[in-house]
Amino acid sequence: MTAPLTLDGLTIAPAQVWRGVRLVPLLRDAPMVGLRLGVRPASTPYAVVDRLPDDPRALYVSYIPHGLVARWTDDGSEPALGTRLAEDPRELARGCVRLEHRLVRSEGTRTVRMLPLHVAVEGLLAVGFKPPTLRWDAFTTQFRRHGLIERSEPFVVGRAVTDLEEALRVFELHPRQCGVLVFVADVLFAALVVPDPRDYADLHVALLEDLYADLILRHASLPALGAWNDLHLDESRVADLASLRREVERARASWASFHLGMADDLVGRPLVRQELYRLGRWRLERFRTDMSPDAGNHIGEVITDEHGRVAHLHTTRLSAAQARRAWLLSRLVSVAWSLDAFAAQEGRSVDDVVRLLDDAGLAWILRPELLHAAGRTPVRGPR
Amino acid sequence: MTTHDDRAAQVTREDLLLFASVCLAATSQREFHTPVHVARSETPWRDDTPTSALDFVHAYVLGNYRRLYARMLAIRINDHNRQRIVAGLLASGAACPAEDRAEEGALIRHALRHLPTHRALEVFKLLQRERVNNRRSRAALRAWLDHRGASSFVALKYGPRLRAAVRHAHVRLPDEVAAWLFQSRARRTWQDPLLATAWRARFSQEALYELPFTLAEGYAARRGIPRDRFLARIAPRMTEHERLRLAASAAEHGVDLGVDLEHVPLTRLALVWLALDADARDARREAFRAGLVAAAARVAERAPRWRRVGLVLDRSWSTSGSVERRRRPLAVALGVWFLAHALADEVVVRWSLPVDDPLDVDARGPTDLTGPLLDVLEAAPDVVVVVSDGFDNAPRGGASAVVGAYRRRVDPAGQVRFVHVNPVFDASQLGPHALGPDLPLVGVRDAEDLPAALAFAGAATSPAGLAALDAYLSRAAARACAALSAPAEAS
Repeated sequence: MTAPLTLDGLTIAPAQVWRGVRLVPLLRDAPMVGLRLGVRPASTPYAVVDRLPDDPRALYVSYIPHGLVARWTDDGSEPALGTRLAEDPRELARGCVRLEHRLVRSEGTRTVRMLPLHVAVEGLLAVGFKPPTLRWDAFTTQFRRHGLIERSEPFVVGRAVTDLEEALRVFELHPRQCGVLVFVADVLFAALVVPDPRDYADLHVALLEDLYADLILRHASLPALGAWNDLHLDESRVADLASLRREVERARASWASFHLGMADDLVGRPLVRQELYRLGRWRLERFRTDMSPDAGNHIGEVITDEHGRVAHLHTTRLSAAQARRAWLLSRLVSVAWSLDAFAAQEGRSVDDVVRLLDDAGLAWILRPELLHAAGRTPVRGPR
Repeated sequence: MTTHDDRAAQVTREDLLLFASVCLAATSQREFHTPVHVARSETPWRDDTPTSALDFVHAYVLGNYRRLYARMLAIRINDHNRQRIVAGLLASGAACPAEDRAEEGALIRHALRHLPTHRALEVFKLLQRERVNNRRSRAALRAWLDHRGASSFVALKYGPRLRAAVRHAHVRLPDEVAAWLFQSRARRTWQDPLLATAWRARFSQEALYELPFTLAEGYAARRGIPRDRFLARIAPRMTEHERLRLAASAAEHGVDLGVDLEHVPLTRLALVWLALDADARDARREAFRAGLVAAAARVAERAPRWRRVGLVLDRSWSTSGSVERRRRPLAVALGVWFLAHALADEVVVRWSLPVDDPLDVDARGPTDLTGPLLDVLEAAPDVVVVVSDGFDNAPRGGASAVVGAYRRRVDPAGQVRFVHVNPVFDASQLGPHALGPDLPLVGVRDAEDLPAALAFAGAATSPAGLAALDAYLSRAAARACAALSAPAEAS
């Protein structure tokens, strides 16, 4: 389950830039038949999702502005979409928090309701959630008994980024557009791919309601990208109109590799994948990158067909702090929570590891004397 | 020393071309890429001044090129800028050199005459707000009222504004009109037929239908007359413009106003067409096509002809305009399509997204001008006109790169002329948004402005252009002054 992500079947079109935001359209020559995605607006943006599949005790509470409905057919015909979307009785229940049962939930035959990105976020939060099975002295009793108890990760809603809102408003959709890569200050923050251009037209504005790492606020406040020329012609090769046309074709061909290069911390990177659901011949998976501190890290969910082609992709970037926390926890899990083994693998002292955990906001799981020994102040309870 | 003079002349030229573009395109309204707070009240470089970008441009040109500023009134600029120029000139009369005084006064009278009534009154309201009250501004109101005649209609339709203007400038109105505005209206008999009818319309529905539509509408609403009955009976009292504007809503009430498309201006007709829904389009397609062709032919009569022209027209999503200027950039592109076919012997057209029948255009897709430009250049035209809001994004800067490479490598002799015509004002740039340094830019408001805009762009881009520009404006000013003194002119 480590196959890297590819954007085969999608054409990269020239970017549209508004101040610091660069939106790169992804086009399909023909829509993927047999699967459609639609938006279902929610009555309130906050939701409690109970009964997580990994841990029956766990409760997932989050900002969830809308749901996605996926509908598919087995014979490759067009799925009907949009007829039943507003009739869900739970939508009528008003309140400050609504209750959703499961992140991915079947709604009748060949229809699934998903809460966008939360499959991925839940995967992130679930890393190291369960308590260690061995009784290590390094950890507090509370952590040994109950595990992390609660884990939260902060995200920013897209609407908080003024330039993103404006960039999405003035963005001009391509007729065959099925996706977009969102860069802010030339850092990839999100990717969205859907099977059909009509789905994209609906979901374009929903990018505003999505979750972004808080890093996006700092990047959005950087100076706007300069107004430069995206078509770099080598005029020495131009002698007449035909050669000018050839030169334009050559310059056009270079965009794709350029923008793919800008997205290299997501595309082509080894992934940790986990299959969640089968939608006929399609497969819903969550994935995350390896959380290496040297590159940008992304989490996301993807629906692929039996050939591994991407029908739906929805990702968000993690901030460096989020990635470091996830990296630390996943490494600790991989060594069965042994601080000594972890320190040995990293070629560091145990005190260094304690300091790493403290910096990541996880000091409360360690016994106070370890922290004292590492020169840090103990804290009570999760921060 | 020559370089210094050259540079000064170049700055002057650029300033004037910018100002001409502003006068043709800027309306202080919100645009697709310009939110309202930028369009109206914020300068892009300083937040503490409550003036708009447009205010700055006007103050700058008024201070530095006063004669040219006044002469702009003689050419086809839009009404919003005409208003601003008149108000600016009247507010700073002392700065006017003695030898220009007569011409400036004549141009102000000419401009006020050609403004719609409510906009002329808006000028006087502006003067009142700025506390400007001098002999010249009072004379301007008197001259305007004298020329306008029928002040009873103005008093009925624009009562509060006229009252404020007259009070501010101490101008005498005809006795009855003054009485209507300033005294109790009860227990009077009105000699003026319009005032008499308006008075009777308060008591009689029959009298209401003798009023012009624009006055009767308010009375009808106050009396609660059903809209369909009102429209059907008032139809003969409508002007052509009112008929056109209300045709769609009247049709909803089952009333056919019998619109005559023959005399509607080009861009307005294009706007009406683009606002129609699919059914209405199917029913009236050929009528509109004939109307557009006729409107374009009327404009073409007064303009120099072209030989071979290449058109690159933008129909991207951004040409849908804004809430305040819905679909105007697209309407201008459509108007230019018809105008070019009326003006030129041979036309090659490419839209940013291909369309078979120009009447089928809608605002869709990205702005790809690169491919269309290459296609148009294949036909070896004399002039290439690009109509776009200046935000080409598929790819960014593609149009400028292609034109630059073509001019430098393929056509160094400059046999093909390029012009970028932009119907959209970008407040953050103090002018229309340019496609790039290699495409001369000129702003327009209507497709009808195209010949004037091309003349302007030609003058401003040539090195000897300043003199030509000056001559062009002074000829236009002389024509305007002559028309003013000729008694035959009625409207």
